[in-house]
Amino acid sequence: MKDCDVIQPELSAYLDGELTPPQRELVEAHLASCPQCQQALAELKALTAGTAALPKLEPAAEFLAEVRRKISRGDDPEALTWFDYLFRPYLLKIPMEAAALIAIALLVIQFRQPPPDETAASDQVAQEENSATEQSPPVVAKAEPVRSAPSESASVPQLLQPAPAPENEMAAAPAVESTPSPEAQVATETATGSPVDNAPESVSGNGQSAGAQAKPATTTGGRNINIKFTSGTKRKVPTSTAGTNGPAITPTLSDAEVSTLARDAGIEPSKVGGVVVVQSRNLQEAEGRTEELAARYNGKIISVSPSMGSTGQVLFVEVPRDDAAAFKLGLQQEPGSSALFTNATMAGVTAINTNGALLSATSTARVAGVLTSGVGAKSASVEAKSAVGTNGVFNGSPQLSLTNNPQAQAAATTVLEILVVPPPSLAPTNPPPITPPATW
Amino acid sequence: MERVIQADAKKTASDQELLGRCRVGDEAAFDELVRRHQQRAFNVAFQVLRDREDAAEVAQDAFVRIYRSVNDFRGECEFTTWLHQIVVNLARNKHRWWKRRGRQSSVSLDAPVEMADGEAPMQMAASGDAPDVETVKAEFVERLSRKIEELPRKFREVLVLRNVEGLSYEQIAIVLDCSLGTVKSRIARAREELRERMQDEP
Repeated sequence: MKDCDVIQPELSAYLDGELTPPQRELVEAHLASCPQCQQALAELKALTAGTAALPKLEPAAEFLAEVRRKISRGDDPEALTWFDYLFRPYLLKIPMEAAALIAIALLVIQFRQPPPDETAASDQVAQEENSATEQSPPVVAKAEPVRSAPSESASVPQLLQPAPAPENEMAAAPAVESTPSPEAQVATETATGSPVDNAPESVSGNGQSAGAQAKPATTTGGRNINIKFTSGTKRKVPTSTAGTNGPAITPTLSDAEVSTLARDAGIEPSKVGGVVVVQSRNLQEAEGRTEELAARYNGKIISVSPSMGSTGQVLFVEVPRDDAAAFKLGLQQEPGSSALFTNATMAGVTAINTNGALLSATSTARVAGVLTSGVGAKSASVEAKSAVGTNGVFNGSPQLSLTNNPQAQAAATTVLEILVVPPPSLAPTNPPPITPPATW
Repeated sequence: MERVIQADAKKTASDQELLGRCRVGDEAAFDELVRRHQQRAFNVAFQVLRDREDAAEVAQDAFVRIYRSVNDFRGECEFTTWLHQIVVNLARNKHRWWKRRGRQSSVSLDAPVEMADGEAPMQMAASGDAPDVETVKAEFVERLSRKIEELPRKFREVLVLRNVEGLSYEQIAIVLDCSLGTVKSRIARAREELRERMQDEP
């Protein structure tokens, strides 16, 4: 029986005389003693003969004439080429292939721009975590030495959503540089005092925001400042929270509060090009340091909110756009040169998000608009100036004129929101090792 | 002068000889080749396509192709193998483009049934010398024809090349441009498939 499984597949070739002599002998030896395989062979023979006996069709009488006609007509039937395989029959394949291409393109687009739902979802998570954060023990904003923040828990930068420039401003500026400048989005670790040792990412370009969001393990908390931009994009201000082993807490202001503060200071919330979170117990020193740094970059503090007590304080700083990143770094990095961290030997990771698109929308874009359209451009420029006036952002900025020289763009300024918040009150007894800030 | 004598012997000229004359522009030699092999080409095409019109077109195209490329054929194989190759390839193209399923399957039973000489084909249908043996044969072949039509095209190809055209495995391998092992296993599978279908229902 077992032989039958081996022999039967060979019967076909045996019947056709296509087996080697040894194979043939094997089959014949088995056949001699196996009625079952004899039967199988008989059936095969009948089928083969029957196939051979299939009716032979006579070609039409005009077969040769038809061949001749095709030859004289110049026909040249060819085997299929790769082109035929790809596209024939046209009516069937081409629409299908087009549809497939479109589907692929849509998928690619989908992946490159995470759907808004995802963003909203992660926002919500951040909100929830933040609400938990806010229940932590209140911290007094007093100038006193602080123990360093817990390392593991200490905050990890979370990248912020880029906030496109308001549409209504864009309208006046046809050519808009919409790409955030690479240095605009910075997430940094405060190296002051006793920094943390787990700063996985210190810089993120725009394209990495999705990636940063996709790391919930490292971004343990965040706050959502819902400054409503015209375009509707949210801006998140992540802060440090306790991870698994620490209460690093950064109570911050609510979105509404920040919006109100900005408006009170004459700054359109949408003009705020970035948020810097600074942990400090001493507001005066933080302010002094900010002012000093701003002055170094030809910027200045344009508004200081009233003290918000334990929830922190907001400063609005105007700095040249190109120096914004450096300013932020300076604010976070230079411990010795400022009073900011001299007394408060705390550490924490903060996140900075300067929105490059916004920056360029308020500066470069206007200049471009001037160049590209005549009357409209002028009005755009006027609008820009008036906006500058009310905001105090571009005050005394002579470069914002009907020119498009590079200096004009370089001198454009941006407004940063400096959030001074109390550092966590609880800290581990052993300060974590100091790690150098990651590169930008 | 010898040429003239050869031309007189046209009737018995081999395919290779006819081909050689085709190469030097002898149109009559080509016509003779067509007449000699048109039925073969037509039937192979028909068994693969199971459609008279398509089969006629494919068979004609095959000869047009031969006419165009007669100078490329160097006689590596027999002319019939070359013809089979072209017919099968053109039939495949046709089949691929216009896959017609369930198209008329009646293989004109009025056509004369030519049995392959020698073999006693109808062992399965009726052994012995029943008076209605011809009827049984016809029924059997007709049923077989329907079942063959249900087979996948690649099975029909090997069955027609092997059983109808009587090509060797090696020739089939050339025609189908595949290995001997593939030919062997495909023929075996085709027959097994056909046997199972014949056992199903009429």
